[in-house]
Amino acid sequence: MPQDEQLSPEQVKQQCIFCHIIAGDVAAKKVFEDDKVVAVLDINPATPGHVLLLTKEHYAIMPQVPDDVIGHIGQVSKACSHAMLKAMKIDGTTIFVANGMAAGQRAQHFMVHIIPRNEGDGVGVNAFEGSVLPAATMTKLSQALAPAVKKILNFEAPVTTSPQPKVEKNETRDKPSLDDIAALLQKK
Amino acid sequence: MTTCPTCDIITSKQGLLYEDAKIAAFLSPAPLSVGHILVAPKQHVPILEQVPDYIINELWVKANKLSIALFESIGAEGTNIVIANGPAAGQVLPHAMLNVVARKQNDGLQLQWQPKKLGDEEMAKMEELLKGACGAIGEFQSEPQKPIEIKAPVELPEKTESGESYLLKQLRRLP
Ligand SMILES: [Zn+2]
Ligand SMILES: [Zn+2]
Repeated sequence: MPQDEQLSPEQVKQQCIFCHIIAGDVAAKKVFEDDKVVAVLDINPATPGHVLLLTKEHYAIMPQVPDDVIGHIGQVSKACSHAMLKAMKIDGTTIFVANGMAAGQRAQHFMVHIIPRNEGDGVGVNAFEGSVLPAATMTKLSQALAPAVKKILNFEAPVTTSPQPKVEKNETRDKPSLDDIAALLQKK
Repeated sequence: MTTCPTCDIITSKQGLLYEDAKIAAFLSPAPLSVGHILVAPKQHVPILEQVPDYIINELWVKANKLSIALFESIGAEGTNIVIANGPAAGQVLPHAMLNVVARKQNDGLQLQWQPKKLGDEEMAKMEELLKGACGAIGEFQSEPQKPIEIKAPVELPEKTESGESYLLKQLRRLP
């Protein structure tokens, strides 16, 4: 969108519906607010109680958000998820960020989705895992990522004898512990 | 002893992309896409609610940076940051973690949902319920500070009845 480059930060905010919601000139069902974030109900929820956690400052994408705000929004999302588990009859929660259009981002304002979940509600994938990749692909990935991780996180992974994380097969999954998790979540 | 595949990876240190005192990151052994990173607290905690706030903070800050690393290194066109909290939400490992999933345009991965329209009444009910439940948010746990070691008794300078003496008085009351 080349015309975006001509917009001043004020004009961008002027065109952002979420900035208007935060400013209070567009009505929304606000459930939480502090100095950095605002939580509102999504008007087109995945499930009842779906909350959008918005930064008060306008950031279009997550990489622009400063560390203190990212950390804070993470803490508030945990607390909000916890509040849902206590207040609603649900089995779990999904905390979700779509960063970029390829990842499903539809709004021009960074936000975190907090979604109450129930068994078989059809939101997203059933299990947060896919299929095992060839060892060579995993090695290539690690090697491609290492310089960026070094630059951005200032971390250099030590050279290990095997660069492969242990392959976890579905059969060896610790089922009882997952049932424990379900029990723990229901207790809230 | 229950075995935790995530703890195994963290303690083996093999294939770790990142680690510090509190958290570790590594490629998902069963990824949803090429470039699926798991960011987990080193401490074994099965559910999100058990992760201390100061570690949550760290997990999110580092997940954002790992997401940027995916953009810069493997040409990711987007990323999803997801916490699947509970088996109903797709949690498959008994260790709380954040997923950072590299995305490409039209990669066929369906992580989202069918938007619904609720009635005004149900929306109002949800608003009231969550407004009440979220009211207590605001106190976050900070990292416990190590007790300060006092090697020799510190001589406190005599104080006048100024504003400072109040602070000193408080200090003396500490065990
Ligand atoms: Zn905005
Ligand atoms: Zn573990």
